[in-house]
Parts: sequence; C-alpha cells; structure tokens
Amino acid sequence: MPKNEECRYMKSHEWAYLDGTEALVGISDHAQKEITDIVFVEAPKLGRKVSSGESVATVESVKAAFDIYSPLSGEISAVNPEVSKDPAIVNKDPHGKGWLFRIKPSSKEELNALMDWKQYQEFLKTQKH
Amino acid sequence: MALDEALLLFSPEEGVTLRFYSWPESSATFGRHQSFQFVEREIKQEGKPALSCTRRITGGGLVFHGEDLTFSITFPWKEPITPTEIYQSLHHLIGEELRQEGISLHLKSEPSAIAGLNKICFSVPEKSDITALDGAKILGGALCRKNKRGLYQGSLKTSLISLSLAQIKQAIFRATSIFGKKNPEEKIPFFERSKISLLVDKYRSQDWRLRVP
Repeated sequence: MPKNEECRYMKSHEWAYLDGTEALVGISDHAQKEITDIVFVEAPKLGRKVSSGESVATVESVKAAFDIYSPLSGEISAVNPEVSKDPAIVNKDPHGKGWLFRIKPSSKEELNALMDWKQYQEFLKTQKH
Repeated sequence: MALDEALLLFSPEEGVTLRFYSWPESSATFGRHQSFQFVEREIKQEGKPALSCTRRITGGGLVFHGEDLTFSITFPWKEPITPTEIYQSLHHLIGEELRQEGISLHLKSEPSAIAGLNKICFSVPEKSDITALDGAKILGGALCRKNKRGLYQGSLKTSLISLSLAQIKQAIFRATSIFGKKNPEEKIPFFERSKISLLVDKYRSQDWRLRVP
C-alpha cells in the first residue's frame, strides 16, 4: 500500500497513487478525521467512465453524506469490497486497507497536476483558521 | 428536495440560505443511503402504505412529515469543521433561542444506542438532537457536503413547543448566525429552469428513490 509521500492529492482530500497502469484512490487521513465515524461507503460502478473532479462516490458518517471526487479521468476498474462490508476501515487505515477504488487513467498527466505530499501539507495549513 | 439541492449547488460559495417548507399530511423522507426495503417496511408498519416518500441527499434516518416544520440551511462549509461540530453548534444555538422564548428543553449529550443506517429519525434521539424534558424529540436533522458547501435539513415537531410558527421561525433564523452571516437569504434565488428541471426529474425518478446502495 502507498505511503503518504508517494500519493498525489486533490484539494478535496482524495489521494491517487499510480500502481502500474492503474491508479489507486482513497481519502486522506485529514479527510477521514474531518468526516469522523464513517458508517457507509457508496462505491462507483465498475466500468464507469469518469472525469477528473467528478463526484463518483459518497461516504456517510453519522447523519452526514459527503461526495468523493475522482482525482483522474478514466474508467473505474475495481472497487474495494472490504470498505462496503466494514466502512470503519476508511477511518482506521485511509491510505491502506481503506482505499476506495481503482481507475484506469486516460491520461497520466492529470496525476502531475495534483499536489504532492509537501504541497498538500502546505495546503492543509492554509485551511486552518 | 430538488430546491434544497439547487440551493446547495448553485448559491454563491459564501452564501447562507434558509428555507422553510411543509408537506402534505402523508409524506416521508429518508436518508441518502437507507435501504428502500427498510423504508417500505416501516411505512407499512406505520399503517400508511399510500404515503409518498422521497430520498434525501442528506444522511440520517426516515422522517414522517406532516406535524413538523421542515427547513433547510445551505452554508459555506469551512474546514476543518466536522459534521458533528456543525450539528452540535447549530442545535445548541437553536436550543438557546427557544429557551429565551421560555421553552424548556435538552440537548441530548449521549449517542443513540442504535448503530447503522436504518433508523427512524424521531423514534430515538441522537446526540445533539433537541428533546423535551420528558425525552421526546423536538428537533432532528441531517447534513450533506458538496465541494465547499453544506446543506442541513431539519425537522422540528411544532406540536411539542408552545410557540407560534412565526416565533419558531425567528428562533431558527437567528441561530443561522453561526454560519457567519447575520441575515441569511430567505428569498429563493433565480435558477436556470434547465438546472432545476434536472434535479426535479432526479427526485421523481425511481432510480433515485429505489437505488440500492
């Protein structure tokens, strides 16, 4: 599973990690803490073609539903069945067992446009008030 | 429901809106990820099989409408505020406003013992719900976040409060100050017809209503 430093990040706190020809996608530790106790994950449909920035999944914590956005354009190639069975995995291990889906990116250049770990840390500092 | 989503999606990023609405007597709404089978079963048990029901975009449980005042607030969801903090702060402030009008109430401090998604909103109060002194739930709500904006949808049992509708609305109106604006927008802004039509179609569709998570 990818380390924090190996992933690229969106401002909406999704991470992407290029794993061969596919990218693994999840939410950051910061996001899971903000969402708090996740009780449900609605995964995207397999084979769905998505654009970067498109809402593709949702997670629900107590009483609140959150949209999850795709960091890349491409086709959904796998979803994590474990998080559907036990959504709390996303809270416990957001960069590991709590990954959400895999995507076959139509362009790897989009990955470079995302923030790296250092940039993401800087971005998080700007969000504190 | 379509209008609430439109206010969430198309209002200015920093805008705060407050909308009050009511339902025909036999109506229900249920949470974004609740199973329709569960909802159908509960509606039958309630003895209202003909009741019309709609899936909300917010989380939370099944709500039977008719004897309640429903309202929605859209607001800029500033990070790093958690949904629990928003829920608690808003209900605390609404509670304070109602207390100032002479109403005795509690803000529930313990979480509900029922876990999971399939819940009926007014049967068991959740943490930070407003209840009467005897424990009966007065106000419950649910949230949704899209991009940097949030939507709160609330249901308040007016029969449990000896205030006029106007007084209750004023209390809620004042409580929206927690979102950083003294006066939220109450007038429904103009939205492009095509945008609204798409949302209306969505909420009327079987796909949305029956979707099996």
